[in-house]
Amino acid sequence: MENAYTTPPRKGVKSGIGIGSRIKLNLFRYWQLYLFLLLPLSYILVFQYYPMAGLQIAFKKFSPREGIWGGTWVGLDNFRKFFGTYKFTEILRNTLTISAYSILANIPVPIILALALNSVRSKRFSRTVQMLSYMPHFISTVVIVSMLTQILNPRIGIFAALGRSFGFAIPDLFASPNAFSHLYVWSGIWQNAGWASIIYIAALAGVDPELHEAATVDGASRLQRVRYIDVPVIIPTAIIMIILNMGNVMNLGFEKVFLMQNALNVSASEIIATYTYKIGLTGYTDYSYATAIGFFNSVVNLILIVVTDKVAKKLSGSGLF
Amino acid sequence: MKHVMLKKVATLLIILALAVTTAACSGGSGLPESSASEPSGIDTGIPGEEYCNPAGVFPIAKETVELRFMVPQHANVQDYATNQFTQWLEEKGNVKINFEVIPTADMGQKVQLSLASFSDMPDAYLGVAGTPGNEFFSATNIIRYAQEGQVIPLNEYIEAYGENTKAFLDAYSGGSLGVETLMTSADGNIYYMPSIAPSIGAMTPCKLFVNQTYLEALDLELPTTLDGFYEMLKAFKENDPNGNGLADELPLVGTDANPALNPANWIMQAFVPNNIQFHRLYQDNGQLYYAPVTDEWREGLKYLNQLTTEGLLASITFTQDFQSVKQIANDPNNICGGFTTNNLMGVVQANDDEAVDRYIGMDPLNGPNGQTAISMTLSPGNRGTITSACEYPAVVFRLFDLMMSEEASVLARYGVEGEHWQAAPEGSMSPYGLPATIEVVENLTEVPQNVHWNGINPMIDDFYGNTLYYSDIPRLQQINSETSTSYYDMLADNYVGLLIFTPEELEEIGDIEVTLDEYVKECLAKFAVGEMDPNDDTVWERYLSEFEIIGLDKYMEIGQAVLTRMNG
Amino acid sequence: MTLTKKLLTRVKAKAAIPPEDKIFYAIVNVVLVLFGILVLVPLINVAANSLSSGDAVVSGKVTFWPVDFSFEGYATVFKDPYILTGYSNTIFYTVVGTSFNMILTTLAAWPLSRKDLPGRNVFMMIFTFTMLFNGGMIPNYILIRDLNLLNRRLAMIIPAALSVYNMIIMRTFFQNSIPRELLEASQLDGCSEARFFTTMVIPLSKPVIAVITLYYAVGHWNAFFGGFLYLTSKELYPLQLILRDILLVNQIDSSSLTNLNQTLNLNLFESMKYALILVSCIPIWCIYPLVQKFFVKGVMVGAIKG
Repeated sequence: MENAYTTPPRKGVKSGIGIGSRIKLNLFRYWQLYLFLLLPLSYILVFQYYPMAGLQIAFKKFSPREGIWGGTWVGLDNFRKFFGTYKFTEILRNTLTISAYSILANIPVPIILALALNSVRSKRFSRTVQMLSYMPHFISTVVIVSMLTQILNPRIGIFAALGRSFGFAIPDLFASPNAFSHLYVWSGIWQNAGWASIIYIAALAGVDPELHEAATVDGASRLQRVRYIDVPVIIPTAIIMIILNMGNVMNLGFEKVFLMQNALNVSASEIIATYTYKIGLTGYTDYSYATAIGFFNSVVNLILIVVTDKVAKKLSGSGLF
Repeated sequence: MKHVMLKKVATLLIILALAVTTAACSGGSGLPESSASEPSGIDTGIPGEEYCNPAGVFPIAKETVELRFMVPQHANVQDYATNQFTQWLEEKGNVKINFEVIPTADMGQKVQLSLASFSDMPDAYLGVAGTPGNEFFSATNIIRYAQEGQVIPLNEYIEAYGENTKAFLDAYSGGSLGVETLMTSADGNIYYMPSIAPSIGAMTPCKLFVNQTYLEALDLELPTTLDGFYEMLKAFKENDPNGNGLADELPLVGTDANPALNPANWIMQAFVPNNIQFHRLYQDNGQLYYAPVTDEWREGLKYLNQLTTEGLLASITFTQDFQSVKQIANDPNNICGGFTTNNLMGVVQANDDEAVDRYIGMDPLNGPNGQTAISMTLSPGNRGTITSACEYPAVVFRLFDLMMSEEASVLARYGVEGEHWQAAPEGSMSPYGLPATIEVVENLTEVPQNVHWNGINPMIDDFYGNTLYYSDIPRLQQINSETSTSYYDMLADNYVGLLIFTPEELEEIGDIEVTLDEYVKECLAKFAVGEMDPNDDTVWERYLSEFEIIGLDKYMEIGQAVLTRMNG
Repeated sequence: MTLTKKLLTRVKAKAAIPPEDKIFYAIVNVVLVLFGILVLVPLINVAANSLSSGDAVVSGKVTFWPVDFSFEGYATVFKDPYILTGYSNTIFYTVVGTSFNMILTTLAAWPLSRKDLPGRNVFMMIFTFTMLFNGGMIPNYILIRDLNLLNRRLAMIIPAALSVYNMIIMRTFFQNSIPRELLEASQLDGCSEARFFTTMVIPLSKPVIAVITLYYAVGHWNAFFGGFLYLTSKELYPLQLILRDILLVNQIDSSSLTNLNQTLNLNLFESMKYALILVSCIPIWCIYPLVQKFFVKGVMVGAIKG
């Protein structure tokens, strides 16, 4: 559908209005759009950019008495300390692998779910399943991990019982570093697929029913209709979601990993957030250090989001910028 | 070891005596103290003294002053403002206390944030220091707040007004394990008011409890040697003591989430001093030692490895959480052979009659390290800090000192005599085998109440903890107390309670400390389950060399300097 | 239509399905049913746990039906005197906050969706940058303090007033679903930007507006970080903060146990964990059907042709 301003507006269109008033109309038009932007922009400037000045303490030794603008400059010392952390490469690698794995694996299921829910004939069935599907999103992380450990318990879990009836014992998956990322990601997909599919369902809601009717008349099967009408509507949204989520890679959340972590799988489960938490456990929070780590995360996120955007534009033509 | 116990009981009695004398002297007799703290005219230089009556004179403040205290919110304290303890303090102090109650969730973050931005500091913080091991107001860290000008030193106040505090410091003095040393920051100043709970149960954090139904079924005695222990666990595993025909017994089980609940730690203590409270450091003749790199530790690992690989110590110990331990211990199929914990009542369901009768305590094993128990040093937690924003520091300090008295400590835990507690019957004994002092009439501990502040203030917590009388004590509590008493006699006395670093030293080794703990914990698990073989020399060498990479040498060097400094 | 006619139409429709479509529908139905079960089963477990006594939960006996039926988990939660204020505060923050959010978001998303807007990319970068970089807790705290918003209700609304993430999603929708022909036609008719926005864009974007409103609303509903950071009076606390405190208070460290009451409390905490989930999310479940109503298929598409 030619709509999204994939091309700039045509110039020199003949119309009943004169050139002069058209220019005036142009300016007037854009002036209003700039006015729209004024409110959100001022909010961003005051509440996001102004505090950003605080990032400077990443390059300083922060002293509460002297505040953000005071303190001594130490250049990249905080960063050097961070990069010199014992097992830094391992921690960074774990963060990136688990996070990227999670983002990529989380794309297909919500889409398939949305397409399926949209294609079912009984609307009531569709709505019921949809209502159920997003409920796990609201279960707290603590309970999710607790359920996961119960299910996978090698002594009393469901799989253990199944295994025993077939004569073999299942290993303790939580003791295995290799299994960690899979456990983390797939339990996350279970929890979030329903909630993530909402945005795709909304996108599908915008599809013109006449297109489907026309296709049916042309003899297209239901599957073909999904492929040629529904999927193209979803793709731009999916691409944006991937790009946006890649900008969050380094922000891999602390709580779930921490709950699933133990002494035997720590080589795969130590991420930046859990490491930072343990360092903070000496009691006194080193705000310079914490800011430096946050800054590093932000830079990596920025690089990732720009790269993903370029790749997406090359592959599909649409991107963020 | 007996010597240590006698000393501790003796100190308890001394402090009782001192407190009684102090209370007798300060009961509003109206007699002014010596002229050392003349309120007006003479400039002795203690800030805020002009508002404050001399030591021993009550009420504390000359004219009613308003104070702002920041305290943690807790469901068990119904309302600080109308609390009985508050009223008692306000009366004795001639003060009006306004409470700023902050949520306990992440209060550490919030307090640090308000300090770091110099926002709205109260007159004093009470009980917001965080959890043990995570105390940002600890003696090591608090000096940073002093340097930034946020909290004030208390030494001159203790000198001028602190009778109860001085008595407390004297009572628990003693080298690097004495409270005064543990509370003094690296610059020689004391910046906070303490609270300790000298209870026998708390000081014996890692006790083993064994399934006596198993022992009876297999006609076994409690072992005292390493070999005997091994044999017992083997019998648990192979001879079906619960008699159901299934090999479902877990001879020894626990969780790694809490070091006290990991039987591996209990076992290691038999080989080498295993200080789980403070980074596995111990001392001998002023020399600092680190347990995990010793040969004795390796011997312990070999033994541990044998137990775990043969299934005698369940390997799920290293991955499961505390809830799972409780499930196993209380399982109706009677599958648990033994576990370690600091408190039996935390693991066994009190209302499950069958489970309650299952377990008995067992003494530590007699190994290369002798027969010693893992101990918890009496580390005084931070319960009160005075900020630089306070206009009446002398008044606030005297309030703190008042809280350290026996009268206040008892009120703050047990309530009012006659109403909430009464004297114990003549000649009765406490579950710890000591002569009983009081009997609780209405329990105020860990229940919603409005009589005290639930232990957030400076005090001697659990003042009568070891000498409470119970007319009808639940079995679990009885067993727990008896086992604690037995372990108390064998407490290790060569631990390092705390190392108080200077901020510069902490800069260098703070991260190393954390990394060391994590690495030791990781390797303990791996050696136990067999992923790393303690019998293999190359593996052991690689294990040791990793410590060098982490920075153990630097840590020990600085640590030794600090220990020598603290030992005086 | 009469009943018979209805039935006949349905039968005819069924008969008219080609076989390959029958397979398609069968597969889709099976997949959805499986997914539904996969999701439903643990949810039943959560509900059962919340209705069991603390002891039963701790012993791990609860699977799909409450063991030792008890409301004690819920009772403890609702006994807290601040539960009601927690709920009303959260409703306030959600309603006011979301309205504020939506105004800011739509005002930003529409201009940025216009490729013909001069300087659009620059603005995009300005907004996106803030999604990635943040000054940290201290500068934000100081800013709120200096604006005198500490311990005020506005502190729960203003700091998080715009989510660039949500704004970008909305912008994508605008780009893909507002036909350029519509805009040009309206411009020819002399329609101003503001009028086009209010009379055309908003009504056409019901699905995305509904979804983003839902995202913001749920965000507010679950929010606690701003609360714990900026609020000190319990009367202003949002629900999540109250619930967190109830939970934490009952999470007693086992080393301090000295009597029976405490052990019972400890088990209670386990049952409460589950009750809390239901307490905090049942309102969302009730609201979602309303949101679904806005997933309306292209209402005004015919407007162009006409």
